[in-house]
Parts: sequence; structure tokens; C-alpha cells
Amino acid sequence: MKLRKFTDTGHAKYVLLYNKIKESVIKNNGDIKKGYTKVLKDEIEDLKNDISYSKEVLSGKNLKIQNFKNSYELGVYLNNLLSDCNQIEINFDEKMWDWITLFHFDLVFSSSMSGISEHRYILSDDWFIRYRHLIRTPWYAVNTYGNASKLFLSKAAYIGSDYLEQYISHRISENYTPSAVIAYELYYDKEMHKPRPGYSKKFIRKKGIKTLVKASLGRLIDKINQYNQIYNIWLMEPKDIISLLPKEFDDLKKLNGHK
Amino acid sequence: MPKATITIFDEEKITHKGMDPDLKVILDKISKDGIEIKLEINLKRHNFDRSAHVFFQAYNNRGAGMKPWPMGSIKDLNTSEINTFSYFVPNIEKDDARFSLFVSMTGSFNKINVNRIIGTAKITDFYDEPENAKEDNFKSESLLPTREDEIGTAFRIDMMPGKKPTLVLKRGCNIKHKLDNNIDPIQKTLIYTSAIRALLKTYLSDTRYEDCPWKHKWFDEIRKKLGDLESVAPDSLLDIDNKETSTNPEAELWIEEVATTFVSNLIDATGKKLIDKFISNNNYVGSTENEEGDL
Repeated sequence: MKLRKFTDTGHAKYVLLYNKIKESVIKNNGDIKKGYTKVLKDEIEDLKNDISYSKEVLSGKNLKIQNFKNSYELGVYLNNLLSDCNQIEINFDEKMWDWITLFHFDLVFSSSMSGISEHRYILSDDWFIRYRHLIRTPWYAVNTYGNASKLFLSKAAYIGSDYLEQYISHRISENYTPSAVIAYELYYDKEMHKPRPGYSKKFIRKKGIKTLVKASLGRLIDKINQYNQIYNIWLMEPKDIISLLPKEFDDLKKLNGHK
Repeated sequence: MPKATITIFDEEKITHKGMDPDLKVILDKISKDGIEIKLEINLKRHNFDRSAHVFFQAYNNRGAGMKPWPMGSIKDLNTSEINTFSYFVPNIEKDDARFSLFVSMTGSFNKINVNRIIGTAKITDFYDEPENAKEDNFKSESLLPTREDEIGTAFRIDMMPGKKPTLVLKRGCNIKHKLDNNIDPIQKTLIYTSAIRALLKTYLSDTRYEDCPWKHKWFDEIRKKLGDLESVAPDSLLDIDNKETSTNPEAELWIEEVATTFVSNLIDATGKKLIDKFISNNNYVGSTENEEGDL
């Protein structure tokens, strides 16, 4: 099917339908399998197939239901799907993003997931939650960070990974996009093709005490923010910025072949 | 015992608004793919090292920053009075465009190549030519600037005789971002309607503001916006008769008229009134009944 976007009525219907699904899951004590009933699944299918609630996006390509190993693969697919579209028009077009979400609903709404927040399925412009959207964010990450987005999009498409959440909520992720390359260089295990565990959170609880995780992603962001105040970091090579990092990062640097 | 020392650089602030700023960022043209901007820059007064280089960066307030454009060395830029540059910033809307200017020098720290910042400017608005330099750039700035603070309510007006009033917004709940970027017409309408009422009520009831220059500037602006330069603002919100105080209904009506003109009838670039956007947004949400039911 060619790329479409909701009409106003279609979008309102989708928002209401998602809220119905959410309420049903809540009524079933958070059990997605029980709450996402056959009736609701049929309503999703009906809304998807009723083209009176959506309209074609002229420059869009064809969508295809398919499986993706992780969010990164989904992001690459979306980036290609939308490559001919006007980027200003699509950037925060919730009617398009939410329609794509509906089209791939089975991919991003799974009984294996732990959260059902509407922000994952209904795009919000709010700075605090806009990156929780399970369809737009993989596109944004691949479009903005390229290969480095593998660090943030390593999980299944219905999961917003902790690396993503911890990174993208900081302004530096937008103002200095090569920070993603630095994070990828340090925290992505290129041999195992997965992020290194234990570094995504800045603080953890140890025996009930809030404890700083040395060399964590949060610490890296602290350091990049600091360098951003004194250096023109855009002009510096990511490897030079990695070299500037303090001792706590030495093990990670060695693991990844940096000085 | 070895002593660790660090060199502290003076970092120069580069001005971008008011009279004769170092830098003017001017919106030249809006196209469907982005915006064209013009940049005028003159950094002579700063005496930056001639080997330093200048870079200009555009970034999207709702997205990513672009790689900075090199503008040349201080040595090259200082050969002429004003340097004009034109840039096309792709995939950005004018309201979301933000800019940074850096003056930096290459060097090394612990044998690592670094690029030290010696001058910066953060630009959140396009340059707006002051109408009259003698007015202390008053017209080029907002009459009611916003700032964030840790306050208990969502917003309040900060006023003091002789000082420009400020709209204080609760920190950490995104109101300032939404107001400054015209994202949410509902919040904007409600907050500014209430703020302007509160501000005018204070000006019309607190005698300490009688000689406040900001009160006079506000009332001059009101006269212009109401379209009647001869009109006289009410003297006071309060009528005092034989020690009995009551509100002056004419003053109340005047406050409502001002709030309507300044807030409800505020028109955006497409000609849409704020109150119309408020109505359509409120109707669009449309689930008020359910929300009330849940409560």
C-alpha cells in the first residue's frame, strides 16, 4: 500500500481507538494478551483498510508488512520509504506518523512489551515525550545519526531502548549530532553486534544507595556538555574527543581500540 | 609537589541584537524546503587573534543541528567593515531556526588536537531593526518577556515599580518552550489573557507605578494597538467614594478590550487569530467529557 496520512476524522478515530485498547489492557490488570481483544484487533484492521479515513502522501513510496530484527532495521526501512518526501512537511506530521504506526501496528504493539503509553503510538510535539514514538524515533535516529543509531535501536521495534531514552533526552543529542558517533564508538560492541550492557544508566541503586556508574552514557554526556562550553567540538574529530575523556573511560577506550 | 594549573581564557560575547550588533541574522526568504538567511558580521571591535576562525551553525529547535559553516579567519573578515554571507538552511521552519556563532582557535591539550572557543553568540531570533535608537531598543524587545523559575503555580507576573514586568513560568513543565515557540494556542491564550489582566489591574490600582516608565510604555503601546491615539486610559481600577471602595466598571471594560486586542485578536503569519486557533484546538481535543468522567 502506498504511504498515506490520516484525515482529521481518521486521526481522531485512531486516538480514540488506541485509548480504548489502553483502557482494555488496564482493565485486564496490564495483561496485553487479554486486553488487546479480538474485537479491538478487528477495529485496528478495519481502520487500516478503510481508506476514507486517510489520504495518499504524494511523494511517499510503498509500505509492506514485514518483520524487522530490531528498531534499527525499521528505521532504515522508514528512512528509505520517506526519502523523497519534503522533510519539513513530514517532520512532525502526526497524521502521517500515526498512520504508519497503524499500518505496522502488530510490529510495535506486542504482548511481550511492558508499557502501553500512548506516546509510543500517538506522536506528541512535547519535548519530553516526542522521542517515545516507536515509529518516528527510529526514522529520526537513522536519518540523523546514521550507522551510529545502531546503539539506540538494537531492541525489538516495540521496545524503546534504555540507551535511546538516556541519550535522546539530552539537548546535546540534537545540537551536536556527532555525539552519537562518540557514544557508538564507546558503547557498541562491534564484534557482538550489540550495545555493551551496564553503561546506559548514569545512576543505579546499590544496597539502596544511589550510585554513579563510572564511564556511563550519562557521564559521557556530562563530559561532552563540558567540552561544548570550551571547545568548538564540531571541528574536532570524534577520536580526539574520546582521547580527552578522563581515566574512568580508559577500559572502554581500550575495548574499542581507542587511545 | 607538582601543581596543576589551567589557563582561563576570556570568552567574548558577540552581540546580535540592539543597536550596532556584531552580528545580524536576517531572514531573507522562506521556501518549501527551508529558509534563506543573510548574515552581516563585523567583529573588529573584539580584537580577536587574527589566526582565529569564525563558524556559523544553524540548528532546529525541534530537531538536529547542522554542521557549522566556516566563514573564514578573523584576518580575512577584518579586511572589510561589514561581511555579508548568505546561507540556505534546509528542512527547517523559520520559527524553529536557531543559530550559534563561534570564534575558535586550534591548539592542543595533552597532545590532543583541540579547537578552543574564544567568542560565541547564541541566536534565538532573527534580527529586528530597532525603530528608534533613543528608546533603548525598547520596541525591538518584548514588553512582557518570559523566564522560567521554580514557582508553585504554573505562571505569575513579576512586577516592581521602575522595572520591566516579566511573565514567570514554572520550570520543568515545558510552558516556556510552548509559549515562546507558539506551539500551544490553548496555553498561550489562557496564560496571556490572565497575565495581561493581572498586569493592567496592578498598573491601575497600585499608586507606586504612577511614574513607572514601563507603565507608560505599556499604555503607549496599548493606545497604538487599540487604534485610537487620542484615547485616554482609565485613571484607576478603583473608585473611592467616602472611604468606600468599589471597582470602576469602565476600567474593567477597558482591561477586557485590551486583553482581547493583545491576545485574542493576535494574528499569526497566515492571518489566523489566536482565539480562532484556541477554539479549533479545544474542539479538536474533544474528549473533555471522558476526562471529567474519569475524575
